[in-house]
Amino acid sequence: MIRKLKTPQLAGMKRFFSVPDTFDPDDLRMRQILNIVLITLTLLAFLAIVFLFIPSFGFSSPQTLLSNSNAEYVLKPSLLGMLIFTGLFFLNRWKRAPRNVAGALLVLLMTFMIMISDDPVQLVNGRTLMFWMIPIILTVIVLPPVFVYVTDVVIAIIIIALTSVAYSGQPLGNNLNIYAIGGLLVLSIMAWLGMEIANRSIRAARTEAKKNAAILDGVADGVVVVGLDGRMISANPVAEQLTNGELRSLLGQEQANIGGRYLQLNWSAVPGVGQVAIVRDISRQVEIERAKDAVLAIVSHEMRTPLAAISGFAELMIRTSELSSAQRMARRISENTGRLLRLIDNLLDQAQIEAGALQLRHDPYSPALLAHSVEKLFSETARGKGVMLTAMSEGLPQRMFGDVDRLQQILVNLVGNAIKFTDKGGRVDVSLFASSDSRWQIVVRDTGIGIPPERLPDIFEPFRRSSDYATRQHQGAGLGLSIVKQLSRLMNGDVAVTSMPGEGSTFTVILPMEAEKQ
Amino acid sequence: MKKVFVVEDDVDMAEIFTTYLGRIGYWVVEIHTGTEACSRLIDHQEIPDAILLDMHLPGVTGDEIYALMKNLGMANRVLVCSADVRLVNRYKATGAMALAKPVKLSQLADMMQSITGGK
Repeated sequence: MIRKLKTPQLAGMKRFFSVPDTFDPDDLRMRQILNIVLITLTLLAFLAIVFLFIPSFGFSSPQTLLSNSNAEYVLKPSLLGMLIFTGLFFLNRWKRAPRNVAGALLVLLMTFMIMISDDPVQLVNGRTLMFWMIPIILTVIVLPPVFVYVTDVVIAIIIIALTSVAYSGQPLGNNLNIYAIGGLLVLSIMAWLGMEIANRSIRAARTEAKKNAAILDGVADGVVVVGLDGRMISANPVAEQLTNGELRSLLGQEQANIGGRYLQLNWSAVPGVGQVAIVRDISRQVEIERAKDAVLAIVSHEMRTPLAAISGFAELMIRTSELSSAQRMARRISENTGRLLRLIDNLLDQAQIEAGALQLRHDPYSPALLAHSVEKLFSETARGKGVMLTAMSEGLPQRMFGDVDRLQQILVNLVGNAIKFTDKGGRVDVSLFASSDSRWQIVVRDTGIGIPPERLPDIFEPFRRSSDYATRQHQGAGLGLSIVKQLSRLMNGDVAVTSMPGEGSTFTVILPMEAEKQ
Repeated sequence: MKKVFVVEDDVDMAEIFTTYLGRIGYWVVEIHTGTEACSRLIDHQEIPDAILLDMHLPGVTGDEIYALMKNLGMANRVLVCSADVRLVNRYKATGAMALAKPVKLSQLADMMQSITGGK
């Protein structure tokens, strides 16, 4: 991170002068050098004035000056102005306070008016303090900081000219000091130009540095720069935040786990700088990778189990000569083929729903027939298990609209589960009924083993049967309820469950009553 | 006659193993839960010549039964059998006998033979 240095500028004035309040350390050093140059130039100007007018140098003499009656009045305020200016000039360079610019301008204005006036004494003595205050205030508000240098130089030149006029008692240009003034003018302009050029490159460098810092700060990944000596040079806020302040301990590492987050650090060498690392949070990828592994394990297990039964029975059949036992095994093969097929169908449905590719039909159907078909479908299984199964539809229209195949799939998944988890002597009741004018419900209630409360929150999530995989009593990939939930949502409805372990579970699907589409 | 425990919760697989091993001359005890297997092994001190052990069992897991047999110094009597291929490979890596489902019955017969040293 770039170190921030505060300049001692007045905060309130800042917005008027748009001087940035942060500088690079290098920038500040350059500024100090320039200040020293300017101060030296001003001192040189001073010395030049003093030496030019000392009699022994032969240009002029104070005696001739003082004999001129106007000169005395002009000399005093101009020297005073020069004094004030110099003081302000120093202060200005030292603190860069904008009010000093105003002060310098005041002197400029004052000396200029004295110079052009026919009666300077009257001018200086006759004005109130306010007269001089107005330009100060205006200057403070209007002037941008670049003018600081221009005004400083111009003020210096004008004061020199003015003093020269005052000493010689002759108009500007008619005396020898014009050469000295010219020389100083050139010097000042050169100083100013040099400063302006330096300033510009400083500004450009500063803008560039700020831009680079902003880019680095704005990057979505963490960026860490390490010097050739192996020490950290800088890090953007994302890197700091990702590493939770433990950045230093990660230098040189490729992967890390900080606060439950998986981080990946890609290092690359940068000649002359050292090493740059891109820090990325890969927790999500790791999580996806693990989920993928878990799903693959479940699917592989769920496919191998019926396949094992199919191949086992087939092998036994090959070795048997008894027709009745061969028929029994063939039936088991057929059942396991069905189990395998259902798994594949469920996987495809799940994938299709997740991809948003499942299209629901809108056809007329009879809810009574739907209930009856489900009862018929499961009657043999239920009887075989010793579970009582009932299914009925009441208070619903004879003809409803929707996707009857998907409704049947919801029912098959719920009823299949209910029978699977209900022991001999229990019962499973299915009812379809209208809960209001616009809604109807499918309720599947069983007296089975129930669902532990801690399992309820994620029971509709796909593949969530993996957590108790090794100890569970009932097989399945854990897709049935997920598909029920997603189909219900697709039909603008929803599904809910209540359950008590040992007493049974009740699944309720609430669906809108669909009108016939025109 | 060599005694074999078939510990398998899937009724189809249990039937296949029992039928086949019985047919080739083993005395097979069909067990459907890990709990029952444990009770036979510990409470009744009933030690078979071989155990065909499924891993995904309700109650006491296959892993726990394997560990128990290992403690008894009889891990070499266990044939691990699972549809979880990674689990099977993990057991194989430790030197255990393990088979992935679907199982070739002739291969099962060979492995049983090598565990029991004949019928």
